[in-house]
Amino acid sequence: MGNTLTLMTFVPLLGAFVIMLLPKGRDELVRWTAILATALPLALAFQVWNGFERGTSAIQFVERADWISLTADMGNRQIPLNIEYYMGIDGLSVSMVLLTALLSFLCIIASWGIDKWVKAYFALFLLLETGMMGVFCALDFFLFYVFWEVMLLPMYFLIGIWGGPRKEYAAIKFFLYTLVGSVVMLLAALAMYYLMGGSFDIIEMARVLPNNPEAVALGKVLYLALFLGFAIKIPLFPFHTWLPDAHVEAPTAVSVILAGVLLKMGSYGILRFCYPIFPDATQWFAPALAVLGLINIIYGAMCAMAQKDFKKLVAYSSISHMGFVCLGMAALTPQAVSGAVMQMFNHGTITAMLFLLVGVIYDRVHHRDIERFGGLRVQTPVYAGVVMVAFFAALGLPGLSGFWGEAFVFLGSLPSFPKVTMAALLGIVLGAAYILWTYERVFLGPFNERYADLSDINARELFSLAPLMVLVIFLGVYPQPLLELLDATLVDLVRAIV
Amino acid sequence: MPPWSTWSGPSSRNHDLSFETSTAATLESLGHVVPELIVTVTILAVILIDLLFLRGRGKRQGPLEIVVVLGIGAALIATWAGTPSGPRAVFGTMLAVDPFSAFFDTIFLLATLLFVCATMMSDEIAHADRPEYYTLAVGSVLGMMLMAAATDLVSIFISVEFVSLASYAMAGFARGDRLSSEASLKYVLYGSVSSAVMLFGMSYLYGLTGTTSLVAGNQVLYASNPYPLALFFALVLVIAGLGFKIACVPFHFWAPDVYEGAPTPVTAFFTVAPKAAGFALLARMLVTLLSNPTTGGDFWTFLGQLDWPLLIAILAAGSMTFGNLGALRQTNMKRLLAYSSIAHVGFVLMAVAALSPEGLHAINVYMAAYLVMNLGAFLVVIALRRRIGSVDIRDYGGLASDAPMLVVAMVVFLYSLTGLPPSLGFMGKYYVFAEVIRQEIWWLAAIGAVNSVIALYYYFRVAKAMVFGALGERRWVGALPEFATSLTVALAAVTLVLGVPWSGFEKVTTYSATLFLGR
Repeated sequence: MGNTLTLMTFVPLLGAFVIMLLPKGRDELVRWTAILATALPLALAFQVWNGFERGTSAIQFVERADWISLTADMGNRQIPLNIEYYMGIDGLSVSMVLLTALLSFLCIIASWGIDKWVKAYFALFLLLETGMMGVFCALDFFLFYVFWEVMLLPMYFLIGIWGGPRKEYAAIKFFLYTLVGSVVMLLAALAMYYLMGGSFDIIEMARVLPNNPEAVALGKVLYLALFLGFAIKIPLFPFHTWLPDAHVEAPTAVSVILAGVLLKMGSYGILRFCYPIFPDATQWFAPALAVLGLINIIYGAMCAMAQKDFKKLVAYSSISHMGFVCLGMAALTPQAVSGAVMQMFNHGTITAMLFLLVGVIYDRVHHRDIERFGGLRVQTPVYAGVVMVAFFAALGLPGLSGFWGEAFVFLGSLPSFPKVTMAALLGIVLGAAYILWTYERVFLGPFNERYADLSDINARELFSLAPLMVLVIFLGVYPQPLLELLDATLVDLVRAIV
Repeated sequence: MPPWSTWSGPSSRNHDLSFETSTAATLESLGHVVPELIVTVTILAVILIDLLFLRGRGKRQGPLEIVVVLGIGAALIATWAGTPSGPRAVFGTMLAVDPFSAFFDTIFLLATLLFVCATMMSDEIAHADRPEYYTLAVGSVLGMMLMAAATDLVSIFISVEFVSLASYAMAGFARGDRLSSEASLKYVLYGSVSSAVMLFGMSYLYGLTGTTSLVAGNQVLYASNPYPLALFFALVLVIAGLGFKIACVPFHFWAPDVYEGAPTPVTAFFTVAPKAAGFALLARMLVTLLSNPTTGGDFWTFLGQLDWPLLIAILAAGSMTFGNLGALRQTNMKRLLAYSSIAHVGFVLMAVAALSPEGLHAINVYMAAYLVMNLGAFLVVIALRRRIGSVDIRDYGGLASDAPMLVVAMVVFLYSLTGLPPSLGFMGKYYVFAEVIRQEIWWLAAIGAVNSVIALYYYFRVAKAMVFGALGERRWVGALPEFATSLTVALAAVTLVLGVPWSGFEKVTTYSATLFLGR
């Protein structure tokens, strides 16, 4: 397929360069360039969707080239340094690539109203897309690490410049937390490189290192080192405090990307690195991961229930939903792991909707205090309808996409961790409670006359929401297209571990 | 080769230095130090031009800078054209000419070119003073080139003092500025004490080996090393002396004050060039004096009984940690970068602690990266000082709107100093960590990792002030120097882009890790 993945990854970067070179004051031109630079990856994503061969765990759309390949001659000793430009996707990453392309495009539309430093905003956003896309496509650990770190800087500035009142604090907190994880990850990557005898190839690592006694002996340490980096990103319970801050302060589109794509990188990383490369450590750690997932589910839901800030509520609900992903991963059954990855994709679309919807109301009334709304259903019926779809999808109503991930996770984890899974069911109840209660406070009850001149959702906003709504409903009724993408890969992944 | 089969005490002087003192040998040696000769000619040319054409006029000194740049440029070309295919000893075993010294010469010369640019941007050095100023600077470069090549205790001490004396004077060049004078005096006091300490250690080394040549000393130590404790003591003293010069913890007290007080271009120069020279000297001395000569060129095993790698690892951990913690609370940009340079010294010392061919290579990469990113950051500081009349971070608010490209360049330098990919700074850090991990010094790697995170915080405080800060009641004191933006943006591009064709860069640095071992 030529260089589809390269184009998907680097067209946004090219767009960012073009935007930097555009003359000052041509804001419309900047926006359209950004649209174009994200539309092309989206078009290519359709091509990937069409061309992706289902029912196999093989790596597809592979592109390989030597990036840094040389043998340094130090006296008589040869020091190899092999770093490849190795891109490819399999069932694990394909849904994430599609999600990234879609959300990036929609976020550019949702960012149309940005009017402070327009050039910088869209350039940084496109740079961010390059980083995200690269993370999901890279199959060389070094390359992966570069993309992983590249995302930090744009994210820092996007939160820090265009964010809310405590933006500076939130931005540096995000940066520091993520860097702690990634520095430790770098050390683990180097150790793995030497265990491999000089290669960063992830696929090769998964083939060789499980049979390397030295690697098995170090397995738990390396597993935990990698896990720390990914757990901070998910974010798992003790490392989660950066997330509510970042979300509350970030502009709408950045929140969408943060919750929709960035959090998934954590669980993606665990499935891509920790699981296949350290199967023994994975089994050893699985119960702990299940419990951490459970804590996320319950704790996130409880926190969500206590929030008065609409956006913070959605942020905590993300923590709760990512807990389901972790529980599913920990169960180590094909069903549960498939459920986890489905949940990653579906949560990406649902939470994107939620943040976009919060943005819609915030743009109009400039606050997000749930208590100060009331009866908006009368004034803004379309908006209330869209929110209802998103809310029901978030609480896992059958017939909407949120249902399938959770259902698969529960079915799959019940045999592995019956007690934990039963306890996690409480999370569903709590989820329903905070979502319905929020809906009631905002849209039902007596109409708050203060919002008498509130306008309903407009066409541009609807345009950015419609594709997500279609996906949520379609995949809710018929999840097969998503399931068949990832099934074969995950079955093989789980088989290799247990 | 001395027959040291039996140790007959330090009074024995029966070794053979195999010194060729003939005129022919000396002339032959001169042919191998062409870059040093060109730099010497440049010094003389600067003095002559001052005497003949510029004396006391105090105008813009265009011709002067042209001569310096041409001279340094010629030396650079001579260094590259004449990079030896293999190691060679010249002037007996006083100096070694090898790819390692050629690499460091390149660093010093490039640093000098940027230093000239920095001086031209700055208004801290009166025009009338510039002839002497450039004489001293180019003189110190000559000293550094000798430092990177020195393989004899005598040449080591002379070259170190050469650099130090020029530095003392340069620190005080902002005449009439009390901070600058204080910096100069402090530098002299601390510097002379450290020189004395180093010389004391060297006297022990001479006493133990009976020779000043590192190569001969190595053979003596290998043949019989009866007093490891004494050798360790001597090494500690020498390392302490050099530690003052490179400003590593706990010998760093002078650095923040001197770096703050010295004129900004001088500070920029100090944080890069003499440090690189110090590391070149330290690495060469440790390898040449202490590695086991029988294991050949493939892998160095060091003479036993001395856990000097642990000693250096502790210095590295201390430098990183205290440098970074010190930088956290600074609001003066020069002090912040001073503390940050102490932290970077710690990072490089990690590679010295893991001294192997790869460790040596890591030092080279790190110093090259540090040259570009740190001087880049200083150039921005110097340019902004002209605009806002301050080097205080709190005055940096609103600059993103006023000088966007300069701020973008600064963010790139800070990003690279933090060590994030893809940037030169990351390359340096990558190699250092790679070698420490390969040798499984886990605790040191962990401390390095924690320090990377601390560094992020204070580097991005600067970015935060520039980008997020409000404009406030701003009084612009002047315009940015003409070429400041283009120069810094070019350096920023180098910082980001040079990491992509990594292979090419790495070939140069790998080759440069070849050094003279006298075998």
